Amino acid sequence: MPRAVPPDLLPGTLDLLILRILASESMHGYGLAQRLKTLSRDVLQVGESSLYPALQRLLLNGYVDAEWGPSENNRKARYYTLTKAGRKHLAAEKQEFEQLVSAIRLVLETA
Amino acid sequence: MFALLRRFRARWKYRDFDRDLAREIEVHRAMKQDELEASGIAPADARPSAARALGNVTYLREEARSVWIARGLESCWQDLRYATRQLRRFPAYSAGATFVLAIGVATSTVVFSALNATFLRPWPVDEADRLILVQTIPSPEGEFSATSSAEAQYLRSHARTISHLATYGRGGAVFEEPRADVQSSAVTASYFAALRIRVRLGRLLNEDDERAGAPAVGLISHHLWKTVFQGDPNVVGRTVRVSTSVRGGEPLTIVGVVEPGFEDVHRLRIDLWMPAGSPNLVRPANIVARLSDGADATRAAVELQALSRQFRNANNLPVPELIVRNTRPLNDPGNRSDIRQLLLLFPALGLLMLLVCANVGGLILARTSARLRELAVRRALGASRGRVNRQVFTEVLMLAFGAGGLGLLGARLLPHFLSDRMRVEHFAPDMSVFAVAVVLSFIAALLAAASALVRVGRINVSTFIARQHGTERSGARARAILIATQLAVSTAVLTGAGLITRAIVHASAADPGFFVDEVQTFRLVDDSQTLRLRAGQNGPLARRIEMAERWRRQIKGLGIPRIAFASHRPLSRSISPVQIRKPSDHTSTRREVSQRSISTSYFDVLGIRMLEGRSLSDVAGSNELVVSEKAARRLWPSETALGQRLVVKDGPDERILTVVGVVNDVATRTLGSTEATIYTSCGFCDVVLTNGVEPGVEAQIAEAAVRVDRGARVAPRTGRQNLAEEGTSDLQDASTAAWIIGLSALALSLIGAFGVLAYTVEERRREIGIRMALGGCGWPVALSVMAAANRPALWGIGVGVAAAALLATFLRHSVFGLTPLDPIAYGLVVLILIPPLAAASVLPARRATRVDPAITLRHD
Repeated sequence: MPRAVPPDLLPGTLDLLILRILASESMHGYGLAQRLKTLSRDVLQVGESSLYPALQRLLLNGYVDAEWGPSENNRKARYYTLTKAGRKHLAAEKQEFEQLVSAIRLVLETA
Repeated sequence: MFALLRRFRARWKYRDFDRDLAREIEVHRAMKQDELEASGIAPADARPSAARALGNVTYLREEARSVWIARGLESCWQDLRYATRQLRRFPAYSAGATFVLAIGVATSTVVFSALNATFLRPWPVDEADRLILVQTIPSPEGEFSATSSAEAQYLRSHARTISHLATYGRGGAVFEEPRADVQSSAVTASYFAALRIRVRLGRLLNEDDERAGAPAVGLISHHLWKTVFQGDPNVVGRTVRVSTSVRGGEPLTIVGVVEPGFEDVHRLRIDLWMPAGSPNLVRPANIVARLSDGADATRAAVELQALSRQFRNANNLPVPELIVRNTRPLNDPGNRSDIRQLLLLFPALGLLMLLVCANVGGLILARTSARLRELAVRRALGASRGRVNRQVFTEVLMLAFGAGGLGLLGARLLPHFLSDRMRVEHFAPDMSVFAVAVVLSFIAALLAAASALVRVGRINVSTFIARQHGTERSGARARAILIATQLAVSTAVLTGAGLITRAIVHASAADPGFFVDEVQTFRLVDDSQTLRLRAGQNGPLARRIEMAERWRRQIKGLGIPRIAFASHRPLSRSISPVQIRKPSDHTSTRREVSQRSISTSYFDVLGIRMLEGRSLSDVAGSNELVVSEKAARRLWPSETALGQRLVVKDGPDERILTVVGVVNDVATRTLGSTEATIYTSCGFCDVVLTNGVEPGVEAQIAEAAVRVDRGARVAPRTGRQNLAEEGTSDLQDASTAAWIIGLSALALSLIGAFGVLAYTVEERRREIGIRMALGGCGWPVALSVMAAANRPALWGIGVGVAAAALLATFLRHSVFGLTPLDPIAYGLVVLILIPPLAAASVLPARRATRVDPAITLRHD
């Protein structure tokens, strides 16, 4: 069932997802939301009030760069690109996340 | 590191983040709209649907914004801008509040600055804690003889716990050209080594300058050089004519200028240092010494005492006691009473701050109450209680810091108005004064804003917005308390002033027990008394006694009628107690009474009544005694005093004297303090009293003095001068201070009360309008409003009067003439208070009743 990315999920998780998506392709905010929805089979639907602040955070930390460019429908949209630092951060966060998830899974299965 | 650099770069690159985000969100909305249209919704509906789906855009932008700018920082900046705007909108209120706060903060800062300059700051001399001051006090037997230069030299050469020893003696001098009054100090050459003084120009004084016959030289202070000599680079070698109290207009060559920043012992301003002069001249000297390495003050005291005893025994001088004191005023036990008096300042300042904060608090409360509506709206829009409180507090803080700035300015400017005993440059506020000003401002702001903040915190948003107008009796109680506090403080101070003034009146009218106006006194002053001394003797006692004896003989020969001699003036602070006992007591029950030596005609000249017996006979060395009534009653309560014998301690000996007369009690030291007194015949009498002022008498007496000794002079005093100076000067200072403070406090309170009362009336304007519309006429309505508003004021006055009465009861015994329940004083205070208070409340009320009720009511 569709589930908005709950705010009590670590903010880092949303950042992680965004970075991963941007790793394959630069896109604008609306596109990101759509892609996330599609990739997660409609489970994760991120609201604008979480998405944009997350993007701002990533921008401030220098993990992504933003530039205005033409979109489909010829609108001017802001495209986000992963930077080198972002790539490194993505790898690190991914590893940490997987460790966390394994640990949780371990406890759930063996307790 | 790199992360930080990345952030800086991003911060710079995306500095237009707000605008970019706004556009981005708009694009997002547009894309959403496209999507909706693509799924079949009509464009007219799609647009609002998209906008709705976006949610609270403002909130989104705020959230995003808080990523870039620390929320706390931004809100503080907003507060500052808001506060500035508010303060600028009401310049009168802002100026008034700042001014009042400035009075409180400035006074406290200035007082602290003065304390800092004299007490708290360390003395800027190398290793000042290794310096000691040596004082001589009378031996237990009552003998006293000051340290001569010869003795100082003896001590210096023999003492091992001391590395340097120097003497200094202060006095005044006058430069004739360029004209200046200077404070001078005669010092031995070792003074400069002991204090490690350095020169800016020229050289220090040395031993050669002290030789008899050496040319007169002097060292001037940096301050004097800059001001009187205008920093003349050629001042070294310049000769000026100097007059001291000892000799007039003699040339003196300046040999050097002391480095800037030097402060003399006790921080007193000294402009000129001169050589101490030939060691054989007996002059009173103060000693300052530097401890040698490894010595401490106690060992030094012991060694110096022993050496002093050696010297004096060898020279047949009485051996005094030596006290060694350190140079830090705070630690010096001798300064305890001064420090106690200073400590009295703190509660006074506290009261002042209380008054000031209450005053400004009232103003702020009134202002805030007018803005409650606006603040409630802010709360409704989502501001938290703390946020709104912070806004109000920031405003007050700005006022307070303005006041603090004025306080620092005052502390900087103060020295120019202070008496010239203090060094000007050292009042420059240093960091501690600055810190004190800041802290005080903050506390003042907190106190002043307290009631307003409480009121703001209690805003109940829903009821506020629901009502159309704020006819809240908001903060009425707080305002009442504030007004009452201010008036209580003002009343207390004013009542105190009134009581003290009455005490002065009493004291002046009090009968001192002797003639005042007709009596003139002359005191023989010899050469060595030119530096300020108490009436204690200095120099060889015998010589002075002999001089006084010859002077008396000369004067007796003049044949002036109605003349008498005495050891002290009629009112004299320097009367010392003497130990007596009855012949039957042995050692344990020694008592003390005041003693004067007099000649036979003393009582007659002064108009003191003889109650029993007769006066002393004029035989030198007679064993006769006259006692005052109090003494007689204390010593022989149930029998007559005549014929009784008393053992009086006279130096190391005891004399047995017989009572031949009893006289009236008279004022002894100050007006109103009669003490048990005994009168003995003249041993050492250097005061002449005449009854009836005749021209030429003074000249004759002065001439007689000169015939005795070329350097001798007389110091005359006429009747009222005797009383006025000795009797009431302290009280007069206190009274002046109290009146000034009281009236200022009252002015402040009235301004505060006026402002607040005006606001109260404004609040009740609607009610007044209704009353008027219902047919009330101006005055009764105004009076009823006024009455209600004045209740807190009356409470405040009541509390103030009660407090003053209570304090006066405690002080009754220390201040002569203070009657705690003096009706005139209280009546005076009430008279001063009531009219302005009435005016302050009537005027706004009256103004309100003048306005057409239709206009008043329409303002809803």
